[in-house]
Amino acid sequence: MRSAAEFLATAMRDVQNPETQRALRCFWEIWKQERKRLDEKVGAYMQQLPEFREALRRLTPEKMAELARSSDVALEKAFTENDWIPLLEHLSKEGRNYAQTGIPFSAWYEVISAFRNELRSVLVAIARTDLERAMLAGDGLNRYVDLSMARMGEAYLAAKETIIGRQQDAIRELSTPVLQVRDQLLIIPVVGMVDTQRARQLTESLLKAIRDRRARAVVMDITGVPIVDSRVANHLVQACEAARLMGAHVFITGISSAIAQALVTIGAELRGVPTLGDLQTGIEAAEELLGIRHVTVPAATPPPVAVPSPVPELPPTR
Amino acid sequence: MPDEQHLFVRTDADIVSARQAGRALATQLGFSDSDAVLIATAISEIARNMVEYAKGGEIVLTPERVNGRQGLSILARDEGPGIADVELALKDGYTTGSGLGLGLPGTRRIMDEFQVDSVVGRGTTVLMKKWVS
Repeated sequence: MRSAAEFLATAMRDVQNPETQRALRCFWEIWKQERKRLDEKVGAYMQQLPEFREALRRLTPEKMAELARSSDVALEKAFTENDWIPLLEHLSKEGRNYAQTGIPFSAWYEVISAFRNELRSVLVAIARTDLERAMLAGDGLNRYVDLSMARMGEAYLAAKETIIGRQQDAIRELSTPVLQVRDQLLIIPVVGMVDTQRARQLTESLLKAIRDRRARAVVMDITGVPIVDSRVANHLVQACEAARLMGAHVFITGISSAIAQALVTIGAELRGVPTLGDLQTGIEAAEELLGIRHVTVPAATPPPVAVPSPVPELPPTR
Repeated sequence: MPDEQHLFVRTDADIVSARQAGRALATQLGFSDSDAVLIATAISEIARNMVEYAKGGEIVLTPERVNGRQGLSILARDEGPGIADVELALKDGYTTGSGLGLGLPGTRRIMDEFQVDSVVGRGTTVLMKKWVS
C-alpha cells in the first residue's frame, strides 16, 4: 500500500527528469496563453457546483485576487525555474482550507475534468498542425494534474486526521469525570473503550483528584467498559497501588461476567485490588471505610391534629 | 457468511477498532456474549503486541465453517523483530517489555487453536481460531 506522501515523493523525483521537464514546460507554454480564459470558464463551472457555491461566496474579491496572485507566482516558479516547493506548499494550504470548509475531495474531480476538457480542445487544435507538440503538452498536463491532486489529497487527509485527533482528545477528556459524592469520597465512572493512553490519563486524574480533594476512598465503576485486556488490567492495578500510597483506598466495581471470565482466562485477576459487585455496594463499602453510618431515624410521629369537638347540640328549647 | 475483514493496526485507536470489529463479527457468527468478549480480548492482546514490538501490522478476521461448525479465524501478521524463543514467550509472566507477560499465553488459553510462527528479523504471524460451542 502506497501512501499519498510516497506517491508525492516519487512524483517529485520524476519532475527532475529532463524528459518530464520538457513535457511540463511545453504544457505550461500553452496553458499560460489560455489561462485567463480557462480560469474564467472553470470558475464559472465551479459556481454551478453546489459543493463549491457556498465556499466561493464566502471569499471576498480581494481574497480571490490574492489567491490567484500567489498561485501565479508559484506556477511560474515551478514550470520555468523548476522549483516546485512553493507550488506544493500553496496546494497544501489550499487543500487544508478547502477540507475545513467542507468541500468533499470528490468534488475536485469534476473541476479537474472540466479543466482537462477545456485544455483538450486547445490541444486538439494544436495537433492539427503539430501533433508532437500536442502529445508532449498532453503528457505534461497529466503529470501536473496528478502531482497537484496527490498534494491536495494529502492535505485533505492531514486535515481530517487533525480533526479526528482533536475529537479523540475531547472524548478522552469528557469520558473520565471525577465526581465527589461527599467529603473524602470520590466516584469515577469509566465508560467506553480503555486503551493504554486513556488508562494512563485515568491514573493521572485519579491521583490528582485524591490530592486535590483529600479523598480517602474512591469507587471506580467500570460497568461501561466493554473489554479489559491484560494491559488495561495492569494499569488499573498500578493506579490502585499508587492511590494506596497516597493514602486512599480504591474499590473497583461493575466488572461484568464476561469480563470476569476473560480476566481469569488470561490470568490477569486484578490481584490486590478490592473489587465489588456494583456501584451501590462500592459506595456502601467506601462509606463504611470512612466510618460513615446511615442511621434510620423513625419518622417523627406527627402531632395529634386537634379535632374540634363537635358543638354540643343545644337541647331543644321550649 | 460475512466477508473477511482486513484491519491495519498501528496505534492504540486501531487496537480499539480492531477489537470492536472482532466482537461485532463474533456476535454475528453466533458466539455467546462472553465468548465474543473473550475473542475481543484475544485480539486486543495480539494487537497490542504488534503495536508495542513491531510498530504495527495487519489482522485478518475470517469466518470459517467446518463440518457444520461455525468458527472465527484470526490471523495477525507483522514485520517486526520476531520472537527469538517462541516456547519461552508462551510462558506466563515472561516479557521483554513493560506488560504482565500474559499476552501470548493468555491468548492461547482463550482460543481453541493457536499457532505462532516467527522468524527473527523478519516478523511474526499468529494464527488462532475459536469455534462456537
